[in-house]
Amino acid sequence: MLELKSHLDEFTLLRYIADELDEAERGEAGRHLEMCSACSERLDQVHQLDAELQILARDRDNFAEKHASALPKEDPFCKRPENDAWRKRERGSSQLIEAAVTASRQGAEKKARVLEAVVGSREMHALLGSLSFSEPADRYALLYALQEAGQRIAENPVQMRRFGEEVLERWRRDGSEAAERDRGAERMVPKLTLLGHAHQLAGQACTWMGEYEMAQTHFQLAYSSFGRADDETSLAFVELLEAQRRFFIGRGEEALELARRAAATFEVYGLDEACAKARGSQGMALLRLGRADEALECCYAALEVFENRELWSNYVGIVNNIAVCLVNLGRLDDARREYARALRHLSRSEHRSFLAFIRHGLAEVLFAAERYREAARSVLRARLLYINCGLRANALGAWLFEIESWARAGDLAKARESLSAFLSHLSGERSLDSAVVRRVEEALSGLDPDFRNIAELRQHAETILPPSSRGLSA
Amino acid sequence: MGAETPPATWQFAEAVILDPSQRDKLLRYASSRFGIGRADGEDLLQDTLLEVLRKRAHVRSPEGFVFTLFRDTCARHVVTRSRRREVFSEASESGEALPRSDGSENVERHLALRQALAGISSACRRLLCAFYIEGQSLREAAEPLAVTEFGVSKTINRCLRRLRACLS
Repeated sequence: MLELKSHLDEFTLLRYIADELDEAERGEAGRHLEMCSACSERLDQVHQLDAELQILARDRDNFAEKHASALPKEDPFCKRPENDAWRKRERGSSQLIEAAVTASRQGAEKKARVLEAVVGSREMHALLGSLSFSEPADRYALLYALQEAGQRIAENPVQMRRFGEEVLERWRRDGSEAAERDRGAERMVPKLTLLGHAHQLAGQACTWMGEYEMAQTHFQLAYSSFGRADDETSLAFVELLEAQRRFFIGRGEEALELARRAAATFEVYGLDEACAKARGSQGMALLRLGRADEALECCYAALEVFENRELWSNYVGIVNNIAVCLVNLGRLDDARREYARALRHLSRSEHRSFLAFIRHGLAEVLFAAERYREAARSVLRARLLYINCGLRANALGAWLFEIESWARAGDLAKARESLSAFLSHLSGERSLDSAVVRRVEEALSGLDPDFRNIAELRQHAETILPPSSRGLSA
Repeated sequence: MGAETPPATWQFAEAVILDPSQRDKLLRYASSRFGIGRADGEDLLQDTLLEVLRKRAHVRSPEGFVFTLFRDTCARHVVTRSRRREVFSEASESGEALPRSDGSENVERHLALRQALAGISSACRRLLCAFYIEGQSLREAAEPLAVTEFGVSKTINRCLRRLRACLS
């Protein structure tokens, strides 16, 4: 029971606004606040403190005992940007929200056409030209298409990048005028949101294409736009993508911090898929930093979500990471069990490409454990699946891996047989540099194969493979 | 083998728009937790719903997603509103024209609050972390500290007073 004669203390006021006083206490506190101007004023201050603490709570590090950031102070991603400038708030109206619902539904329908044109490439320019920034449904269509294009980045990163850049270009041409003129459309889908997503998509595509500096520029612009738009979840998505970019340029500590920050936000908002992706990125960064134990924990957390949601592309990436963690921890048999489990989950008819990645990953594990013969068998099956799915670059890489594995297993006859099949396959396509062919032939020509030469060629082939085969998830 | 497709945010946004009782619940929360009046609350709720419509996300709980978004919008509103009040009162006292807020003082205040957070007792910081980040109730968050109920209140009050002082 509260003591009415004395003033209400801070903790009581905080419990009052958090609605944690029991009924009698709440009644007494309410009566006291009506009579006591000092407490009423303090209540306002506690409201304000509570709001400030809620904002600070978006970054767990603000509540940490000690924190040494891996990100330098001048790094644009060091702290999440805050929009502190006062913005005149426009009074709402029921008509606006009803119009927004209608426009959003129309936009969702139009989105499919936009994406079709984006993937189809030729019609993209014409279709984008036919959309108007003054039209709320068109803005929603563009926004939804930009968001979905990010999820489907693997389908055609070059086109996705063009899409993002074309939206930016179109806005530069005639967006500002529309923003001034059509306040309703601007409130429904603000310029900052649209441009933020366009930069995000372009940056994501650049990462996939290995253009890391351009990706950095786009991500910084997206981060700044979402910061000014007070869009926490979008900020977290950019952090996740920037974490992946930094991972690829070898900045594991920074990648880890950004992925961890993004995961915390996704967790708060209940965005499980995004959270799992961020946990997966944390796992990759930890693995790079030699912290396989912690990496394993992150990867298993992500695996469960990907499996339940049947997000097979992400699932395969994470299974491969789990296996690498287990091998690093000396648990080869556990790694094999994980692959066996993954093979049971995937359908032979529906998920052939994913099966190929899993078999290839298994081969890597066996190879690392110097079980070359088993590795060769596994990668042979992966190679056949790749060919079956039209994943030519992956198939060629797997083929070189297979040749090396047979050779290392001491089965030169199989290695040469595989090389011969490889060359006859390529001769039909005339796509491989004759110098490369000569190097492989030379490496296998004597009694003692030149493993280093084959390994170099294989590694070279892997660098030109798409990021999907290197664990980058959309 | 069927995927567990989580519910979608926009469908829930539409449900909130159509359901006055859902809206009332959120407006009552804005009033009790942040001291926000009905008119401002309606505007903030509209901003929230517009934002939800912009995100075609699948989430664990659309209700929780909308609530979290609304809570953050309210928190930002309270912080910028208090800043706005300060700008008005400074301007009226000095008789000068209203300065445009560039947010720099807010940044300083955040910094001061962050520093103050670093300086409070570990026990109190753990409590705030449990309450603001882990979503525990204040009662649950205070339990590990509870040597005596009086002792807990005293510690927390001292800490909250220090933090409050940063805002003035």
